[in-house]
Amino acid sequence: MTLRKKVQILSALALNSSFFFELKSLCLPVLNCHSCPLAIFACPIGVIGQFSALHLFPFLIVGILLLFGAFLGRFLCGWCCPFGLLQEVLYKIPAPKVHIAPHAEKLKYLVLAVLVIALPFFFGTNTPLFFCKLCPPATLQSALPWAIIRRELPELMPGLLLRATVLLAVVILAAVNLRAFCKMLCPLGALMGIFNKFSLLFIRENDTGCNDCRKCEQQCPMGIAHESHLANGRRSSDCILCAECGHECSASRRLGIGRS
Amino acid sequence: MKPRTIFFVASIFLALGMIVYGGFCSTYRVYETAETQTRGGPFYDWFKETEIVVGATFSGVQRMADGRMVALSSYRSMMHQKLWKFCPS
Repeated sequence: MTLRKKVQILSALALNSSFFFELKSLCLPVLNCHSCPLAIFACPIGVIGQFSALHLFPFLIVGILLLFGAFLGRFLCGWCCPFGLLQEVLYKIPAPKVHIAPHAEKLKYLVLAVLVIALPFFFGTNTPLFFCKLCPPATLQSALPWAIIRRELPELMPGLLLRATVLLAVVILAAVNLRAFCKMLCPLGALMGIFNKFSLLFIRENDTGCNDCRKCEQQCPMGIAHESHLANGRRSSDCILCAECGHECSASRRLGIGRS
Repeated sequence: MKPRTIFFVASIFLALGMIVYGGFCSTYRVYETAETQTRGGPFYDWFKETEIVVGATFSGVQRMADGRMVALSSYRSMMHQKLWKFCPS
């Protein structure tokens, strides 16, 4: 088992181990539903949506995201996000694997702008298309267990049916394309990707060592092309800093601080 | 200095400013109401932003049609509990 997998498993357990304390006035930039009683932190996307409905600006949460983003970029997406780990496990299911068109990956910006911010701002959080009402981690961690424990499945239809359908679609997507939800739909990934452009921590490589073998593209769980990443000093907003690309890289790609 | 460095330094200052302001300084007027009432009652309190964040995770604070923010009277005790019934879904 790789170091990253160990960190991902430990993070998933640690983020959902609120047996003795919780810090739900703070958040970490990972998609982990705060409605789950075991969750320690608030979900940044849930709080942004709720604040949008209240017509308030979440200074504290945005400040925390900005601080993490400036130092780490999307590092926590690759190393700590429990839903990212789940998708990587689901991808191991034997199923036909498909490629996602690059323009489909822009959908996550629309999800952030419309489902997380605009809809709750204009129609409140009770609108059925508010992101938290559809969020796959929320369905998995909170809505389904809650409905089963309370035995209120019939009463919660059709909202729960919509949620379960979205979750099923995301599970199928994750089985046929690695981290498909992160690539196409995750609003937190869309937000944190902005910080990749100037974050302190990033993937570094020895420019002269690159022999254009493209093995990095095959290893990348986000399917990032070499041209859009690192080549000529570029940084992709989709990179989750997992450093998988460095395993067989002749240019010695690795996580590092400072100039890429 | 390179633009990347400028953005990084500016982000740190902006982030720290937002955390200090949101965590310690910003407060919002929230009316309290009984669970059965639809409009905010005459009583209100100043909630810190951190309290609103916790309230938001439990849907404990809501915005009414007249723009006022209202919390259920039982909100303060609710926010200290960890029960499934607060699931906003």
